[in-house]
Amino acid sequence: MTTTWCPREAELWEAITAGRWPDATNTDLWAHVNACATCRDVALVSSSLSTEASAARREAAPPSSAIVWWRAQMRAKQEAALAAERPITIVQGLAAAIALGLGVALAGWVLPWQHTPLTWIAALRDAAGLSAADIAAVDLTSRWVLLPLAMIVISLVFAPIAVYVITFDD
Amino acid sequence: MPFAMDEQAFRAFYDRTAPALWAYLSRLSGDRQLADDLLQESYYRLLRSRETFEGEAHRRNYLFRIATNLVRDARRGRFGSWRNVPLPELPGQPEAFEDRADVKRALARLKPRDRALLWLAYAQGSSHSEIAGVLGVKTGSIKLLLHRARRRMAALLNGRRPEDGS
Repeated sequence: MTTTWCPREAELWEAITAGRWPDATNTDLWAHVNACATCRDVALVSSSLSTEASAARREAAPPSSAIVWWRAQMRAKQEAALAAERPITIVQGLAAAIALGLGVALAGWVLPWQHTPLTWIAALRDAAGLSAADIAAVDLTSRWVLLPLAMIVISLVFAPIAVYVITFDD
Repeated sequence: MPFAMDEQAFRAFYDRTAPALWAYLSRLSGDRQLADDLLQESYYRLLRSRETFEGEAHRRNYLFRIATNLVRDARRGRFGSWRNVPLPELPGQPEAFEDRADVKRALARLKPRDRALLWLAYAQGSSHSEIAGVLGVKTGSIKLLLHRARRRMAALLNGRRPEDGS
């Protein structure tokens, strides 16, 4: 697209904004606009859009300022309440997950089934490529290892779920 | 976070600017219902902003900038393309209807930035620096952008195909 500037464009625009266009008395400007493609575009587009703007303003029925102010206040209060609640609920969720982990670990310590061999721990040990000699000193089925291990595993599983459930707005 | 204005100042500012902002939103989006929603969202974001305003004009430009961004975001999410903007119903006489329908149709076929540029310049009479502030472009490039947008709009109003295919 080639760009053609017209030195009288500013004059026309000034006449339009001042309400002096279209003014039949300004024959010189009329003659120029008829001959100049750039100014013809300015006149056509500006008159079309100013007519459209007047119509749009007549159509406009925005809600009253009192309603908009009231709704804004209500929304701000809601958002403030949500923002204040969020850290508390996250902490509550984490605490619940840790408590659950502790509870299950404690139950494992007290109940008889914890004495059965935990084959998955042995499989995990094998998968990690640790030799028996490396971990020979550690008895993974000992309650003193199982207790913190169970706590960690359960907390790792439940804490993200709890945080997700709490922070998911919809 | 407190609002950027008190109630009295807000209501006075709203009463002065809401009709023009609604007109801008409705013609930019082509959707009256969306214009209603975005109007309230624009004022809410203005109230929650941390911007320091030098005066009424600065605040008004900032409001229109928020509105422009909201329309762009809404259209990207809802329609995917500005070319599919529906034309609202138009009141008035049959002859006026035809003229205004042409204007609306031409507006709907323009690129969003061209539409905003032309509306701000010719419907609102904004200066180049005000338009630059609203659209987030350099003031020096407004003249050229406006010239090109005007040619496209004029071509559409005259029933011609714009030179760059817009």
